[in-house]
Formats: sequence, C-alpha cells, structure tokens
Amino acid sequence: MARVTIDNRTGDFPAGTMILAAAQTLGSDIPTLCTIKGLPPDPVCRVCSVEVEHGGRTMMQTACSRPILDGMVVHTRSDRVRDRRRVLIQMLLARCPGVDAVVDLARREGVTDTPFTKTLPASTRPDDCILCGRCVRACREVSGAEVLGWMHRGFTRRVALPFDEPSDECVICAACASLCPTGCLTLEDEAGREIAHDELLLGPNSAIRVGTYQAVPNRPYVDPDSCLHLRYGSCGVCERVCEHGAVDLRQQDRIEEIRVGSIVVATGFDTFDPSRIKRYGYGRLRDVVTTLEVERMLNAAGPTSGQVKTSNGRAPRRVAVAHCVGSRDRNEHEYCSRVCCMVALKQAHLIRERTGAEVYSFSIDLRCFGKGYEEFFHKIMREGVRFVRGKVVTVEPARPTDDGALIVRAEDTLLGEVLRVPVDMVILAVGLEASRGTTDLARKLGLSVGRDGWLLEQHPKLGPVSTAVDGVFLAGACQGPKDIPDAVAQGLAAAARALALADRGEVEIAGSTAHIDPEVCAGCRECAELCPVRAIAFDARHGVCAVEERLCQGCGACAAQCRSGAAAARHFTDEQVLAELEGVLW
Amino acid sequence: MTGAFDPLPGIGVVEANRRDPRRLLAVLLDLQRRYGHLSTEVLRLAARELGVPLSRAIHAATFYAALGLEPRGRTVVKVCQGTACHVRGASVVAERLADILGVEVGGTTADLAVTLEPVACVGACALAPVVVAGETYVGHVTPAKIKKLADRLRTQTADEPGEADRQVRSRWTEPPFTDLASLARRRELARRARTTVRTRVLVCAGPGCVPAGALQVFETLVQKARAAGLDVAVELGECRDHGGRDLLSVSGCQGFCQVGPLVRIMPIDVLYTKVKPGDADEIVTRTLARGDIVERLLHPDPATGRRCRGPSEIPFYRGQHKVALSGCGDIDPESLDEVLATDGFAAFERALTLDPGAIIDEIEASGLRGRGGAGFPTGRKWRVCAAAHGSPRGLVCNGDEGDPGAFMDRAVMEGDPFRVIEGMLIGARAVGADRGVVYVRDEYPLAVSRMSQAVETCRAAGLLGDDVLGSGLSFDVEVVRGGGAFVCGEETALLRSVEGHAGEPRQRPPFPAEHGLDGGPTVINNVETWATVAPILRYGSRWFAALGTQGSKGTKVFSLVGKVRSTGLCEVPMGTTLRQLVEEVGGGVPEGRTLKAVQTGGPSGGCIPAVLADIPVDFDELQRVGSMMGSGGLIVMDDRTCMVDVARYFTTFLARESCGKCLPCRDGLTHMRSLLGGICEGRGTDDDLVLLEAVARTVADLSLCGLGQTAANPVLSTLRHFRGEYEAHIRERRCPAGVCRSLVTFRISDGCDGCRVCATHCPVEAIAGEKKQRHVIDEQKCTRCGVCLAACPIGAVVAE
Repeated sequence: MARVTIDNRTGDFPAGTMILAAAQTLGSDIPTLCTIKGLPPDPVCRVCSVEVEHGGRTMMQTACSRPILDGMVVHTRSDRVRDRRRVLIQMLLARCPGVDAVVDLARREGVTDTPFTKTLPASTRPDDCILCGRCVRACREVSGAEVLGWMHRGFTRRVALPFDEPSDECVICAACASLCPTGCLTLEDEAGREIAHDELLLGPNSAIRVGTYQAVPNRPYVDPDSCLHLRYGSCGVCERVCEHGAVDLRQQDRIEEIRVGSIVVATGFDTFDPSRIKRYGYGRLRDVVTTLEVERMLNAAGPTSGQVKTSNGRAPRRVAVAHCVGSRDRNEHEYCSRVCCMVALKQAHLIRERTGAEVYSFSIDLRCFGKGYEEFFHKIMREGVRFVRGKVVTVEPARPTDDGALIVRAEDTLLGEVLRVPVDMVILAVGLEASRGTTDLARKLGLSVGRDGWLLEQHPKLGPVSTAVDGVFLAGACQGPKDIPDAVAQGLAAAARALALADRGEVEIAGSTAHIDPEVCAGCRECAELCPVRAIAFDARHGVCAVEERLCQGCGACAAQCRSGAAAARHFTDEQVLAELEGVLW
Repeated sequence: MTGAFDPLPGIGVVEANRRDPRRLLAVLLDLQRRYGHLSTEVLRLAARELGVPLSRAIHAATFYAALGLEPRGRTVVKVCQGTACHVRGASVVAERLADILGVEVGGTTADLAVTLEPVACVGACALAPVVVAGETYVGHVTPAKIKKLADRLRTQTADEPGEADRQVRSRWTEPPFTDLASLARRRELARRARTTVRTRVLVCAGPGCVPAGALQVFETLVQKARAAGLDVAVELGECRDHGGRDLLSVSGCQGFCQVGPLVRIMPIDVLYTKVKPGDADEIVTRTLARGDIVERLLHPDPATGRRCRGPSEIPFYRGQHKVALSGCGDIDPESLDEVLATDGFAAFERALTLDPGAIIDEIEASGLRGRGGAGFPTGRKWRVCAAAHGSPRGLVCNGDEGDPGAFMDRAVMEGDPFRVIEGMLIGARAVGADRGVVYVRDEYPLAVSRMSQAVETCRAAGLLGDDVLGSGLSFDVEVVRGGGAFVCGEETALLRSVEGHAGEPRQRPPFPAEHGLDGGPTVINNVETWATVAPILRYGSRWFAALGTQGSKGTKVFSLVGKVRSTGLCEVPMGTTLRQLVEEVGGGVPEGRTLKAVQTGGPSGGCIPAVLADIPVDFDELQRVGSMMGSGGLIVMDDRTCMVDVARYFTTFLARESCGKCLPCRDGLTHMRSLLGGICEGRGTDDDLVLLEAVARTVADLSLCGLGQTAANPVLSTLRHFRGEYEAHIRERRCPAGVCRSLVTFRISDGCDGCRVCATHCPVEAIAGEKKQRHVIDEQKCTRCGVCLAACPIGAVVAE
C-alpha cells in the first residue's frame, strides 16, 4: 500500500494504482481523452498531466500512466497545470473546432477561444480526428487485426486504412468506431448504413450484452458469433474490465443429464426474413425496416431512446406499412401469421402520435379479431392513418424529383389504380415462422412437424397442448402463430397438464406395450430409430435395446421391423395374431 | 519503372533478410533501392512476404525520411540542412538549385531525372555548405559553384555503385582465436611487425577529408611509391615477415577537418595539410625516400604564420587529450592486426579476469557519464540492468547521431570500430548480455560498412560468437541501419525501430535497462561512451577520474564548427572552458568578427552568450545556464548570426523530426515555428512573444519523450540571453545581425571594384553597373537572397 496526497486529500492505495484512479477516488476529476479502460495506458494526448512531487523533485507527469509512490504529493489544479492544460486545449481547438469532446473539455476548463488558428500551416483543414490513437490501439490490442494504422510523422501524421481503401483484413469488430471519442470514425456496410449487429440494423451493439432490458436473468451474455476472443483469440477486454471477475471467457458448454417425467416445448418463433423478397429492398435500401426493428426503435430503452428516426437522423414525414410480408403468400408461407396486423396498427398509431407523419397501411384485409381490436382499428382510422386495400408490390429508391427517399408501388384494388407513393420509411410487417431448429428438435423428441413447420399438436380442437408423445407438451408459438394472450393461455394449460402428471405420481398406461427380449436382441438399434415416440433406448452396457413402457404407444412398429424377433408387442405377438387369423379364416 | 511489376527481386530481398519481420526497415531500404520507390505493389509484397500487417509497412514507409512512396529521379540531390551548412547559406543553395533545375525543393523533375531534397546533417560539417549528388559529396558549394553543379547534375547518369553496395567481407583469413594465449601470441607478432615499419603514412579518410578527395590522394601515393621502387605495404600483415617496409594506409578522422585532406607521417610526426593527388609525387620522392619535409604542405600557425611541423606544434591539437579518439587517426580501421598491435582488446582480456560486479564497480568509480547527451551515470545504468530480471539481455550502441553539426560518433565508427566492439564485449560480461545491436543512422553508409566489416572480422577471428576465447561468454553483434529519423536517437524509439516498426518512442518508466529490446533488460549507450569503456578498464577508474571536473569526469569529443577559424573534431578534458575551445583550439572567430554565442547540445541544447564563455565544459554547468552537453556539437556564432534565426532553424528541424505521437510536441513545435517565422519576417508582435513562451513551456513540460522535452531549449535559452534581439525584430522591424532577409537591405559599398561577379550571380538581375564601375543594387528587384554578398570576393556587399 502507498500513501498519496492529491489536492490536499490523502489516501492509501495498493501499489501500482495509477494517479488517475487514485485521484478519482479522492474526489479530483482529471480530464482524459486517450485512455482506454481495460488496456495499458499509452498517453499521447497529455491532457491528464498533473504536477507530481516526489523524492525532492517536482515534475509534470501524465496521471493515467504514473503509478503512485508512497509519499507522493499531487496537484491537479495548480497554476502550472492549468496554464499548460489551457495551451493544450487551445491547440486542439485550433485543429478540431467542431469536435464536441474538445469543446466540452474547453468549456470545463474555462477556455473560450484559441490564438492558434492563425499559426496553423496554411494548408491545414479543420479535422474531426483528434489523433488520440484509440482506434489504432483498438485494432492492434483489442482485435489483433492491426488493419488501421498511422501514416507519416509530425504534424501531418494521420490515421489511415492501407492505401485509404476498405480492407479485407478488417474483422468488423467495431472496436475502433465504438472507442472513437469524436464519432469521426464509423463503420459502414456496403449499402452505406451504419452497422451494428447482424440482427438489428439500428444501432451498435457489443458482443457481450444484456439481450434486452427485460431479459431474465438480467445479466450480459457473450454472443459467440461476434466475440473476438472466441473467434480469434484476441481482445478479452471484458474480462479485464470487470471488477468482480464475473466474466469468464473460458467457459465451455456442459452437457447435463436430467431425468424428468414431462417436457414442455416452448421454443417460439422466428420472424420471416424479408430479404428473401427482393423487390421489397430489405437489406439493400436504407430505411426499409421490419416491425421487430421498429419495436426496438419505439422502445424508450432502445437505440434511439424511443425516437422515430430515419437513417439520416430525422423524423420521417411519410411512412408506409406493408402487411403480409411472408404470410398469405403462395411463394413463401400460405398461412396467416395472425399477429402482424395488430402490431402494424399499433406501430402506425405510435408513429403518427410521435412524429405526426402521414402513415399509409397497405394490406389485403385487416385481421382485428380480439377484444378491443376492431375498436382500435376504427380509432386510428379516425386519427388519419390511411388504409389502402392492396399489397405493396415493390419498394424502390426515389428519384431526385420525388418528395421522399423511397417509392412504394401498390395496387389500390378498390379504386383499380396502381399507386406510386413517395415515403421516407417502409415498415414490413413480417410474418412468423417456426424457429430455426424446430425440425431437429422434433426429431429428437419424437414429435411431428406440420406442413408449415409448426409442431403438431395431438388434436387441433381437443388436444391443443399435448402431442403424440405422452409427457411432451406444447406451449406458445412453436405450435403455431399466436399472440401473447393466447400464448399465455396455452402455457398455463401445458403447465397444468404437466403438473397433473407429476401430481398423480402414478400413470395408467395401456397394456398393449412392446417388449424386447434382451436374450435375443442383437443391439442393431433399428427399432430405436423407428419408434415414433422415442420410447426405445439403447443400453450400452449390455448392448441391447429396451422399451420405456411408460412412453410406448403400442403401435407395433418395432415388433414388425425387428429382424431377430426380439421385439414383440404384448397382446399382438406373432403367435397371437396368427391365431386370430386362423380363428377368422377357419 | 515501366512494364509489369516483377516481384522476384523483391522476394529475393526478403529472403536475403532471412524473412525476419524485425528487419522491416532494412528490407524496405533495399526494396527502395531495387525498385526506385515503394509503390503499392512493393509494399504489399513486403508485408506479405515478411508476414507483417500492411498498415505497419505503410507506417514505416511514410515515417522514415530515407523511404518514399513517390517515384524519384535517377539522381537524388541532397542539400544538407545541418547547422554548419545553414549558417553558411544552405537554404540559398537549395533555392538556387531548385530554380536552375526547374524543380521544387523536395520534388522531382517531370522527366524523372533529378530529385532535389533537403536532408538532415550528413556529418561533413567542415565542408559546409554540402550537397550530396547520388553518393558523391560536393563540399564548399558557394554561389559561384551552384550553376556548374546544376549543369553537371542534369547530365549525370544513374548512380555508380557506392559505399552502400560495398560487399562487407572480413579480411581475417586465419583460424579464429580459441583462447587468451593465442590472442596474446598474435598481438606480439603484430606489435613486432609494427616496430619494424620504417615509415608510417596515414591518409585521413574521415568525414571531412573524403569529400575533399582523400581517397584519391591515397591511391596516388601508393601508385607513386610503387613506381618509385619503394618497398611499400598497405597492410600490417605484409610487414610481419618482412621488416623495414613503408606502411601506407587510410585512417579514421584525424580531427583537423578544416585543412584536409590530411596526411600524417610517423615516426617523424609530420602533418601535411590540404594535400592533393598532385602532391603525391613530391611526398614520395622527398619525404618517403629521403626523409625531407615538404614545407608548403605544413599548416601555418594562424597567429605567427610559421609553418607547424606536426600536431604537437599546431594550436588545434595542443589542448586536446585523446581517450575515445585515441585510436582514431592512428590506425587503419579495417585492420585487426593494427588494433591488436596498439593494445586493442587488452582491456577485454582484463575484463575476463574480473567478476561482472567488479567491472561495474570500475565503471561506476570512474564517474563516466553517458556521452550521448543526457549524461546519465553509465555505471548506475549497468548496475540497474545487471540487477533486473528477465531476458533476453542485450546491449545497444546508439549510433544515430542526429544532431546537425555533430559527427563525433561517425568518426569513431568509421575510424576505430573495433574499439566499440571491445567496449560492448566488456559490457556484455558485466551485465550478462548475449546479444548486441549497433544502430547506425542511414546517412552514414561508410560507418555502416566499417562497423559491419569489423563485426565480420571479429566473428571470423573468434572475438564474437559462442564461448569467446574460451571464456564462457557468448556474445554477438548485429549492425542495424536507421531510416532517416532524428527521433530514433531516443532510446525507446531506437528499440522500436530495431524491432521492425516506425521509430516512435513510448512512455518511460519502465526504462530500457529494466525493460528494453524485446522486453528484456537492455543497456543503451552512445558510441563515444562505448569507446571510452575499454580505456577505463585498461588504465583504471582512478586514471579516468583524475581527468575532468568533480561532476563530469574524463574527456569529451566535440565537433567544433561554425564561425571559427579551425573547424574539426577535438577531444578535451572536461572542465576546459568554452572560451579555451573557441580561441585556443578553434583559433577564434575570423578576422573582423566578434564572438557572440556558443551553441551546445544540438537541437536539444541552447545558446550560451559570449559573456558566459568562461564556464567549464561540464554536464551540470551547461545545464545551469540553460543549455546542455548534448552529444558534443559545438557551433560557434559570431555577430553576424541572428539568434532568432537560430531558434527558428532548430525549431523547424525539430518540428520536421517530431514523430507526431503526442499533442504538445507535434502541434506545439509547429506553432512555435510559425511564430518564429513571423518574427523573422517582421510580422511579429509582443503578444506573439508571450504566446511563444507559453507554448515553449508547454512543450517542455508535457511532451512524452526527450525530443519534445528538450525541444524548447533553443527558444527558451535565446529568449533568456538574447531577448533584445527578439524585441528589435518585433518593435523596430530590424535584424541586428543582418541575417533575416525581410528585414535587411543589401547595398554595395564604396569598396566595389566593378568586377561584375555579383551581377552575374544575381538570380533576378537586380545589380546594375559597368565593368570597373561601382555597382548598384535595385532594391525593388532585390529578393535578398544573399548570393551577391557571398559571391563578392572583396566583401564590398553589406547587409543592414
């Protein structure tokens, strides 16, 4: 431990603590521009310089890189410090007058103008880059790609991509853009949009994040597809920055075996990917977004803090909502996704309320089936949302003479006219589809999948939560598109069924189950593959298959297939069936 | 380069450098020579084949002055911007050449024939102003010579292979030494051979004499001697079994560069000056054959006019005491035999009998302080390194002598390279190092090749490598070239350069002695420091500590240049006063001028006014008056030197050499340069002076490395001692020294004899007047370039 006095306040800190951190604890805020939390300091801006007395000498040193020593006395606001800092800031202001971070710093330090504009070399242009070097350091020390670098030396030194061209070596980690204090460095995709995150095109996101504010558990998780450490072995800054040591990037998947009596499948849905319909321009044109993305945008805790903005940062004047994207479509999904109309209407209402924009809804018809839904539709119609009966055919970029960024073409089937509507934003009401991996899961559990990819319930009217497999229940959208009230209801039902099973303790099963004779079984496991309810398990120790009789439905498929005759259906053994036949025939 | 890009030569270059990413700079330098410039394809090739990120290669290519992305002319003409050249009108030379060749300073002619670029000091200061065309040095480029030079350059063909292409080969053809006994035997043979030599002729081939034609003098001497039937040898080895021969060889710098080429004759201790190839005949037939002295080649004493026979009679040499330079000028720098014969490596032999700790004790007791500029106690640095944990452990010899006007390290590396290696061997034993690097700046190709040759010879002789002399010490040295960056003289920047990056410094602590090359403990010392280690081990710390002052022991090498009669390299005991150096060694300022200031420490130092000239040369004393010792550049300034212009010159130099990493140095020096420029051009205000001082203090206090931290010294020291001059520029729009062109008027005095010389040289034809009539300058047309003043043979042009 070392004792240090900063601005006449004394404290004890562990050896190796930098003056900057100690000062902050003791209440002295020292300004910085180039520090990167979690990385060793490389002090180039010198803004954090303070006066340090130690060993009989007084020197000016950068607080971010100087470890405290016992007996050190530090002054962060002496006349000398303030004079030097003022000159630094004035020099920065001369070169970067438009940078908020610099202007703010100037204001905090009481610097109002700069005498250095006239002593700049004649060819100097105002620049937004303050040459703090954070981006270059990020590219080297965080991602390890070392694509961004410096060029030249002295006054003309600058940050550059190799030959000022986009580089194939860039790993698109966005560390540089997220660390840039002025925003002059941005990531763009080829369509010129600011990138973030492969799910949402609406704002930057890091590889370690809390999914949403309502996530349970409300803790960050690491996305293995974008984490640089898991992909390239570099970075790892999150582990270093966490003061509680809660981040462990070495965690591996663990396979656990749990024995249960019932399973509730609630694997939900995915939204339809509208880039499959090329003529809508999603992924190609700016400001063509999905209802899910607009949900994030409208959320007060989202990337725009609830403000409705197009990609140029302004509120749209005209918005088009295209219904039935991927639903009721013979080329994609024939079914109706049930929920999108109400979502779209809600968003139309909120957008109109927040921005006053003209909102056009293009649909085949509107499905407002629930309590208060039809009334809501009428309300927003009165508010001025315009409804066109006809699907959107194409979305195209506007011409320079058009009053908008995009052109929506649709047929108004009532008027019999093809409309050409200029708008600033197009919202695609995307349909629902079974989530990725449903077919795989179904196979593992022995469930059936319907024609549209949704999991099959036992009976469409009378068995909405059970499946062909005893003990496996369905809840929510995995069984078919539904809204929240319906999903909740179904969830309660599935839970009740599962609890009922558990509560009973005993189950009565039909007597006609199958049985495998372990003496005869050769262990070929073909019956296990065949069993539609996955009731047969392979016992590796003995090398034979065995039927889980509580699951067996008595279909007899295994008995029919078994080559060695080891599997037999009770009450339907070969001998019994043959005897019946004999009885009937003769 | 026309036609498709051929990658094969480039791959060859990378292969020749062992595909080692640390050799990025060496690879880029070679690629530049091979392809003419570093185009996009060349850089991509370099990055790919070496396995370094492309951004790193591009940074290096744009950071080092020796590298360029743009195509260059067949002939590259470099105008030296060193201090000595500056005070003798280098900027005028550059402008005139640019004018005549039709190219911008720093640019290339449209037909790609010539590139004209300003370069940092090339270390030939005695011949200022210096222009290097290709690899040929042209000295004393006065206005009269500019036109002729330009004509020659335009028609010059592509470069002949020069020093840089010289194959480095060892002259050691015998088996290596395996132990101390074998070394001792060889030493005995060499000593005996040396004593049998009848006459020893040493032709100085130092930085000042070579451009003046010393090598031709040597060739002609050998030729004439052989033709005269004399029994001559050019290597000591030839004298071993054959006594009574005359030994002719080149030597390192003999010091008195002003009057070179120098030829020294021993044992009669005669020094011939300003020798031309045409004098060779007389020297051979009279001195060599008959022992007769050629009077006209002796240096006349400036005070009495009497011819001086040799160094003992020449004032320039009298006050000197050679320690670091004791071998320089005395031996053939490429001959290991001569080194051995003059006790070379005897200090290393002694070191092998001592414990590492005892060696460090000896160095510490001697009081040796770093000769590179900062003056850090060498013994303490070695002790810190020896005590530090970690590996690899290494040594570095800092030969990046960037101070303009300084060429001491160059002289040692070219004149006594084995001495440097010996010092490093001793250091290796002291701190437990197994590898060493000698970093030589790119502008010194001869130093690179001499050091490389010495290393090769030592390897072949078993003095470098595994288990040297059977002692158990394994140590090897690598010679690494710089790329043209003054900042690489800073320790951490140098290390970064050696590791294969642009030479940017980093924050200290940690210091290299604990955490240096590749993270291991590394001792970095200057060339002169390493050259002093062996004498200390040989003669003892007490001997060394008896020389010098309380705080600064031993001797120091200075390059005495500028407005002084005798310029050159000299080594004096610490404590010698500045006045003694200027007047006794240097012979004082030229007739009619008065001493105004002495500038020490290069761009990191300051100007000491004449009134303080009696201070002793001492690390602490110099610092007390606002300057510093620096590496030893000593620029003498007279009443016709403008101190504001000097401050601007150094600030401009530093602004150009700043690496640009930290804000205060990068921006601050640029603003300071701009303010100083304004003052020199008569646009300055009192507010500017206040601002200048504020920026200067900010740069000094806040910069990340030593370059920035000392960069304000020229401004602050001139403001302290010569404030009146600044105020004259600002308030009276007058330059008291008559230097700042916007503030002076040139006129022709009554003494004019109408010779028309000035008129022929005037670039704007502003001088009118018939032959034998007094000429007149048209002030409206006059651009104040100063050519007429420099050209007038009788000094009839005055600036006021």
